[in-house]
Amino acid sequence: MKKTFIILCIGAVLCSCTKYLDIKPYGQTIPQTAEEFSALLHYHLDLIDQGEETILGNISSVCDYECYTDNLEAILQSYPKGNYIPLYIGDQLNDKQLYYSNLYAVIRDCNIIIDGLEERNTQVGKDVLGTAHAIRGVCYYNLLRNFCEPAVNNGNGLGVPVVTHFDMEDRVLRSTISQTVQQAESDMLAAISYDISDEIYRFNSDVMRGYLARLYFWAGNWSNAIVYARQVLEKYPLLSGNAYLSMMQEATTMTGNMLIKSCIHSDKRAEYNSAMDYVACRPVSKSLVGLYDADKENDIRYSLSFSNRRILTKNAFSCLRSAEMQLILAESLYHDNDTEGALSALNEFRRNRITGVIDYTMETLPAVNEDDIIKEDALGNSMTPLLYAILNERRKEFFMEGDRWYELKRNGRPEMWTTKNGLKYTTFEYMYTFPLPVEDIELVEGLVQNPGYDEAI
Amino acid sequence: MKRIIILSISAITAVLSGSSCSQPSELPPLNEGYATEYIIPDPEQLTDEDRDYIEQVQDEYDAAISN
Repeated sequence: MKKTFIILCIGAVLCSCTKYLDIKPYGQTIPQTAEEFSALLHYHLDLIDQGEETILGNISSVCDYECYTDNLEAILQSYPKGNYIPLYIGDQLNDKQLYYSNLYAVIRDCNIIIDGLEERNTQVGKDVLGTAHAIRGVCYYNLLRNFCEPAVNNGNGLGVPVVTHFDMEDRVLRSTISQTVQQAESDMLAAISYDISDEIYRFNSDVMRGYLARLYFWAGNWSNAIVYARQVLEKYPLLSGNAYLSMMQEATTMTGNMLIKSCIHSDKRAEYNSAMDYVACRPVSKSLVGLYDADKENDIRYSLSFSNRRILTKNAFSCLRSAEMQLILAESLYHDNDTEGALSALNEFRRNRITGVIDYTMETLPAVNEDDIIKEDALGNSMTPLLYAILNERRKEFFMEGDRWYELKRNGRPEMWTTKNGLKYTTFEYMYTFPLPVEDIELVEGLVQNPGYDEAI
Repeated sequence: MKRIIILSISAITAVLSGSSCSQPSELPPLNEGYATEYIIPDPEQLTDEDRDYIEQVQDEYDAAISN
């Protein structure tokens, strides 16, 4: 009896804390080979094909960005569907904190690959490393556009923390805009140097040249933007007529002169229709429709973009295509003081979109519309007829592709307002630059928040 | 003596058994005491001028789609 009692007592002591040191790396292994490291990338690449909001953006995020702008008229919005789309950027500013964290989660995976992959001389190894650099560069480009103030002539402004190695204990402070641009640039150039050959990795050298053109354009490095835009255009010339139409009518297929596109899985069609259905409750604005007044009948984009009732009919998608390169080229030439070159690039673009169009000359360019909310260019100068014409072509071309928000940000961050239930909601200048997460500001001593985000609850 | 040993063992066992996992809720909820959202400015009341503009936008749209 006594022995039994003692055994029971000992048993009771030993049974406590049965899960001592129970932390095990369930389903996780430390990658060794290029194939194993590539699994980290394929997770993100697959998400791009499925449609994610972090690296390339998806239909839902593109629609959101359109809703923040003056392309759609929120005053005319119908309800209840209107309740499911953002009224203005203020509705989603706090959600952008997660976007910031998600971008750094992708950067973390890329850092693990770049730091840890030893197999650097095989083709698979080069593809994996190149793609890791490419995706990291794209993430820094996204951080730059969303979480920093406009970059042109603002190199000393607040950049984002540049994290290039995996270290959980590291507390990195914000760099300057120039340093962030340099990081994105070096990653994109590195990606090109690896000459990614397997198309499953998506970010081949052509895509990265396109992204470099975008990066230099955003940063106001006009000469380099011109070089890379021209390189892409040589290989992917502009399309017109039926070739252009069939490219634009493909919602979930990458075709024509697109270099990269998200949501290309055909099973995304239902999700696509749902997103478009909601955003269609907000009519297209008069300011956008009015841009077609002179060439309504002949501009291929007019009937493609919206119906007679101003309900959008254009497919929303996130992609990189040649038209953007042509308009980057035109505007970069303009800012690089090559007015003739800019006009020529603009006319070439219009010839591919408007049947029988007569080329503009400096004398026949339409006057700047004083009612347009963009009052100044990326350098803070007054709008000229030539630049205004370039920006208008860009606005028409990239309607429902999430471009207008960044155009507004790049060109003076104009304030605008809309209304709902008798109240006025204003997009203030500071809202064009999104907030860093509250927890990062609280945990990292010395990390500076963007202006306008002083109080958190 | 044996009784003392048994009682001692029983007492020690009771203490040890009771002392393990004494703080099952040691980790407080992550958000407790932390801010998570920035304050966005409240909407304002519309002015007469704003109402005129809204009416103008609505009228223009109605006219445009009735053609």
